[in-house]
Amino acid sequence: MLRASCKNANRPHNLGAIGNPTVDSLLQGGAELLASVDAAVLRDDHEIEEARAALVERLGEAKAVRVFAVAGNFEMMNRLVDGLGVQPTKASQSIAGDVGVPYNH
Amino acid sequence: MFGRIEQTDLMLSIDDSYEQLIQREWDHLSRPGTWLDGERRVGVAAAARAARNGETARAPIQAALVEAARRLTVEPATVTLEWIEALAAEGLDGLTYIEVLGICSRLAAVDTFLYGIGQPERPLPTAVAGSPTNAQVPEAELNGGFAPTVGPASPLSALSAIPPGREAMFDLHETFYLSLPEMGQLDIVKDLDRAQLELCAARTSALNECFF
Repeated sequence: MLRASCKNANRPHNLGAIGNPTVDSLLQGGAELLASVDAAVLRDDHEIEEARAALVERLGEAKAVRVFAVAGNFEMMNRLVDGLGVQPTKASQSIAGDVGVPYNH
Repeated sequence: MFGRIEQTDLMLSIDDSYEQLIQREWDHLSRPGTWLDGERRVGVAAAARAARNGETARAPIQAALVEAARRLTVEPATVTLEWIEALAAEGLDGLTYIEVLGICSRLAAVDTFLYGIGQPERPLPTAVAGSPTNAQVPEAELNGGFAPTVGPASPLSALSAIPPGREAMFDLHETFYLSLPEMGQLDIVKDLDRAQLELCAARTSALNECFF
């Protein structure tokens, strides 16, 4: 959906940032967004406050809240999919290399 | 339900839609479910939190429920059919497993959100007395997944054998991310633009080693 939405808007993007947050996603606030998702999902007590503050400074409070809400939603969805044993689509498997997350199942 | 959350400079402010969603989820968690009563539902949530926090689960629930809560919370990518079958041998049948899956996955959503915005974990609710409904969904059967679904196993059918759990999932999905109709709108802006929303989603999934 990231690739589809960027293509729809004719926006540059780099899927490699999904697997490696040091890669520039080419999206506004991408670096701050990724750092915040990482800190929240990984429960990084050392990083979360700095990441959150940088995210708010870059995008504003409402957008920052949405970042954490989306991360929360996919914490749910990932568990539903894995808990049920739903296999990834062929489309997902085919772009594993582009996003820098090898599919080894 | 929660009393006043003491706001500090470190916390982000949230609007009523988020707060009300959390209250609905806590209400749903506390009440008798389809296969588990309120006490065991809250016990599953407590075990899930204990696992995530590296603590010993103290909830007075059967060991299979504790193990299910643990793995679904801290290492969901390692779930296998063999593990689920082992749980069944210990008395945790497929439909109850689905109910546990719903509880743990939604709790992970709420707790990650609160952690991200700088709010403390909400105390788990007090269980409401009553018996589970034991409402069967006749159409639910094994269909490409590890547990029964209505139709082929998919993200959208994951909790279809437990309709109240599925409704709660969609409620959270719409509040935290997008509704089903909104998902078809590639140019939607919901605080973040669609590309930013999807970057959050994709990175979260990568961190959880979820390839779907």
